[in-house]
Amino acid sequence: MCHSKLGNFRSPEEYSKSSLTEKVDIYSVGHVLYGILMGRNPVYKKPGYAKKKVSAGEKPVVLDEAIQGDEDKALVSVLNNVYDPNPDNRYSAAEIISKFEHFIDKSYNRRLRHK
Amino acid sequence: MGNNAKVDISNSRNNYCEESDDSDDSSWSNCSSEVQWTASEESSEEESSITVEGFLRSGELNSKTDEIKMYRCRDKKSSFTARKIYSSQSIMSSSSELHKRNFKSSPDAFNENNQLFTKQSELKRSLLKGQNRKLSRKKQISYISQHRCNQYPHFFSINNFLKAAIAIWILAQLRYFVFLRHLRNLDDDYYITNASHSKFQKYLKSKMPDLTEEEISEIMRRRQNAAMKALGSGTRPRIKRPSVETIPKDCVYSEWQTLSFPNCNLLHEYDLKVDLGMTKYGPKLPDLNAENHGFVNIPHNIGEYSHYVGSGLWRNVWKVKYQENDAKAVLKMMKMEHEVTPRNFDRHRRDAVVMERFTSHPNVVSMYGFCGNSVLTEFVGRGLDELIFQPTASDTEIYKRENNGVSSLFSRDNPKDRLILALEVLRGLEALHQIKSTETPIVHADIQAKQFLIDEIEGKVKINDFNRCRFLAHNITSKKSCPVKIPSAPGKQTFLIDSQNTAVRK
Repeated sequence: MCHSKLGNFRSPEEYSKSSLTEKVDIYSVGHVLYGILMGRNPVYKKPGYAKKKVSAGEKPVVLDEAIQGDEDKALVSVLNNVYDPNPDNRYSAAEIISKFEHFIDKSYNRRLRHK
Repeated sequence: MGNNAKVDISNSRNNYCEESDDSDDSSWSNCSSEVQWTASEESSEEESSITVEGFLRSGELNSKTDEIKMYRCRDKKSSFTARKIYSSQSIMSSSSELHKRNFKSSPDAFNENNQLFTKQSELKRSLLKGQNRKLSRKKQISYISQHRCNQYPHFFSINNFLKAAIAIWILAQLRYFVFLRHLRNLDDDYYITNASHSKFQKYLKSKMPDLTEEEISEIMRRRQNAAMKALGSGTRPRIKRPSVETIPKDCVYSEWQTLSFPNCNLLHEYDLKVDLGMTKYGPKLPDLNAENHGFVNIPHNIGEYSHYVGSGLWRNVWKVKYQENDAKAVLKMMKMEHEVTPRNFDRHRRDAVVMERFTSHPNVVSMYGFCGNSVLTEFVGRGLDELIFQPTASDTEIYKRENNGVSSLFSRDNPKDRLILALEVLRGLEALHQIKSTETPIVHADIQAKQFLIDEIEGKVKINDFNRCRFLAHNITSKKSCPVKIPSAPGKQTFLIDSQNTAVRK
């Protein structure tokens, strides 16, 4: 049986070994959104570093130069919410989608919705 | 009578003895004392009718026969002293005296010759007693005392007796140690690790009579798995105490969460890498016809071409192709180094159940067949990590070249594309979290960029790899989902199905 390490992409509640809900996926998908925005994963220098930082409630840093448009700002606002240490404060996946779609509706007049 | 003896003696001389007058010790080789003795006598016999037999019978030459015996004994051990004695000049001179005399059968002559021979024998005896200058007296005495006239003198010698005793003692010691080692190992550890399977089974039955046959067979299976694993690549720590992942009170799983829907008739537990010698760039997979691969309800003949794509922690991934409709598929089979445990089985069952549940959903990878620890799913181009973590322009150009100049539908080059990509990523997750049939979401629990696959044909991002997923149970009274604990430590596990494949609600 393999002792699987948790890795760098887990949520703070999983690092603290408390009970989990589907909001762990929201935290982890934050890293994917971060990757889409920044082109890389959050940088953790040492192997155990991610666990420390995430457990302490630190959020990965989004550089200002990476934010180029309103879409990126929407992404960052979602990221800030998604990286919340308290799982109850995080959006659900449907809420994030509705936020994105609302943004798209507003700025592109529904052109992208049925792409 | 005399003639017969003569012939015998000469024969023996010709065959076994090298005559030499040289007094040097080293020139004498392999010449036994008996033959020497007769040789010196034979030369004198040509002119006489007296035979050796006659001498021996006379009874007056007992000392001489003793000497002969003594020489025999001695010679078996070593020809060293015999050589010395015979090479001495005194004997040679006395035998030359014998040469010169004419032997006659008259009693006077007999007496005369008798005296001569006794003289010669005395000479020899005196030599034996240590008058030879080259052998020390002490050595000769010990030598004579050691070698009595037995047939096997050195076999019963004190030296050999001592050697034998020592050898027996060493053997006894060895036996003692071996026996002790055996005794020492006759504990649990011995039976668990070293004993044969049948011995271990007997031991189990004797030690733990309460075990049912199923439990015993389960233990035996694990043990055999472990033994097989030792043949493979490396070892991993075993499950020692399987414990159950508990859920809170009044929480139950829905029925579909506890079932599995295998749709093939054989367990796929062969390792293509090993069995067929496949490598990433290795030989192509031979045709796997229906009897071989065992998947039902899907096109057979999996591999005209196929290759090793990669592997996760638990399973190897193969890209395969149906011959009939030319569709690509992905075959995942568990690595041979892993045991077939209920935990593994349940892990892959969950994976298959989720994909089976969302086959119609465009943002979830769909499944074609599943059984045991193997699954056959649709093939989706590349991972999201390849797209977003390769920001260089050359990578996008390579992709364009490989795909007939068509650039990817997705990119992260401008803010708009990024938002669309993020939206697509979240759609699969939304599907998992909002199942319409039940209220309880499915937790993927292993969300990473590489778990999302980009389907360029459909223009979708698909979520993949539900090995670590958890079905959340729901509370009976409040109808809300119950949180779950996913243990990272080995051994803690949830068995939603038992070995008979029936639903168990815990």
